[in-house]
Amino acid sequence: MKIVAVTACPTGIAHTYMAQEAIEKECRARGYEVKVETQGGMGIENELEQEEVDNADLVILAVAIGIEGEERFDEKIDEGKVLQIEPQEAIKNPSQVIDNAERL
Amino acid sequence: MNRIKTIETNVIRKEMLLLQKECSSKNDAINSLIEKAFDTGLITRKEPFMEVVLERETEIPTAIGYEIAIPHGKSKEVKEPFIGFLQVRNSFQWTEELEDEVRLVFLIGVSDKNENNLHLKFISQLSKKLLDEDFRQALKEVTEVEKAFELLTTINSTIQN
Repeated sequence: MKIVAVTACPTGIAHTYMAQEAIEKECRARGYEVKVETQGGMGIENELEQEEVDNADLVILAVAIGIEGEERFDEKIDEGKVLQIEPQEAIKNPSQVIDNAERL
Repeated sequence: MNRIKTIETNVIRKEMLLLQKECSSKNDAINSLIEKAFDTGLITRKEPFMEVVLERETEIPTAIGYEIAIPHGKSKEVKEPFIGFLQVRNSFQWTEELEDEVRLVFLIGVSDKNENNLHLKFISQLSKKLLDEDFRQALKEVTEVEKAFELLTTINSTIQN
């Protein structure tokens, strides 16, 4: 299983990075490949290439604001493989979030 | 390495570590930390910073589960980026709507100007570390400022990107 995700929150100080950590931890615990791009106070980090998005089984957008490069996910959205959630959901209940993503 | 150490000790200050306090509301908690930040000279004015922090709370409350809340504000009132820590003796409900009980409160302040990335990096790393259960437990049990300071300034290699 390959999962890619983007996390972003209004101030980009804490939630963005906690959501990243929560998603990475949960995926690693399940033995999944995971890459999480953060769009926060430090700009875009760990940026996802189009190819990485295309090759992913699932996409999680844990974002509370509009993000840069949303069009990268258009195709995955059409395929119904994108889970959109608030960053704090990923922080609070990472395992439930991944479960929900897997049901897509 | 020395440079990072300096950043940590700048962002975390012993004066901003409040342990075993009685506290029963979100405003009460945020207020205690803002008072301290003002006394320590980290912010220029209290009220405008409080407003920014509370505004952020109305967007989305910052209780994140795990008995932790991380209210924060980006404001020109912030002279130096900081993380204040308040450990309360008895957990309390963060908002009326949210059932989340909170015992550990981290108030984060950064200036609205282009912040030094090393400060933001440290703040993000500490935030991530809060997802570590052992770390949280240690923060709930700590009773001495010295020890709390040590915990919060020791970011180990496991959370490096």
